[in-house]
Amino acid sequence: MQRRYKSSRYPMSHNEIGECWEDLDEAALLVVVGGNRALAGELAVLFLDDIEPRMKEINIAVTEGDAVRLRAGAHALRGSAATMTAQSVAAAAEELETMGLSGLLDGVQRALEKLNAAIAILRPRLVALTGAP
Amino acid sequence: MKILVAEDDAVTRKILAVTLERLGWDVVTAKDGEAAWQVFATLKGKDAPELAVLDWMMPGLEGIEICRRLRATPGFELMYVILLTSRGDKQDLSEGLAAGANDYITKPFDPVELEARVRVGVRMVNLQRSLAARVAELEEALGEIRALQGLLPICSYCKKVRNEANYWEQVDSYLLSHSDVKITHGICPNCLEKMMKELDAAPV
Repeated sequence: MQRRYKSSRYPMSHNEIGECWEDLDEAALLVVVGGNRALAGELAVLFLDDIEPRMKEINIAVTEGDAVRLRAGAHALRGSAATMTAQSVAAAAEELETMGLSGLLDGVQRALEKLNAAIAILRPRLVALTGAP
Repeated sequence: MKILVAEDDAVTRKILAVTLERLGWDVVTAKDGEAAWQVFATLKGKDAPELAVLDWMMPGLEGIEICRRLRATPGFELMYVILLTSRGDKQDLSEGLAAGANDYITKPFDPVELEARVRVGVRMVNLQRSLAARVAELEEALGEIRALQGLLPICSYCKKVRNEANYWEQVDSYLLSHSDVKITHGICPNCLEKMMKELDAAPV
């Protein structure tokens, strides 16, 4: 389920119909981890470690036009991002997953760029959450 | 109670494990379906998980396939399984439940919902455990009743009975070893009269 926010103190990602998702809903994440900020930091580390292999998988799938592989790779990233409350990444990954599921890869490059952009915005926020300098 | 969490995504696996441990359950984790199946194959008795939270889509062995295997494997038919899925489609859910899942949770999960659904599962597991114990008690009792219902050879004179080992034994010892009855010894009026006569007739 995608939650839509009208305002936030953080920058948001927008899709073409004007819906916007928060890049990282820290308040929601803290609810999920029972208020344990250290645990949220640990999760951020795990997520950051996973981004590279998952993006590599998605990039290979896009390059080779492999819809099944794209669906699996995007699905994995979407699940992980949704759990982290990283909604813009989850939404961009879902778009790629839907393309993989349908087998229709028209516009896949644009969707991939959108995902890369969402990750670029998310990454510093996750690094801040880990407490790393 | 031990709970198995099988999830290939490290973030979700960590949150699930920490949340369930915080609620007081003993958690064992598996990073994919094959590792989950190994847990079932190696952990036995008290160490075995009685409830499993399985991700639907995992590389190798998917949660739904583990479900099918569990239902077809003696000793695991009653395992309480919660499928974890990001799918919300009714057709998918019906497929998961038909494969033997008891319940499902959609990702991203709400910790309150997770707790509620796991608690339902724990109640079911405890209920099944208690029912299994009662059935075992009843079967044992039924076995004893059958033993007393069989043909029992008894001596027409001394009233000893012949047991399964072909030994003649007193009726009271036979009943003690073949049923839950407790015996208290006394003297019936006829025997008492006979005994008194014998005592009177005995030389002083």
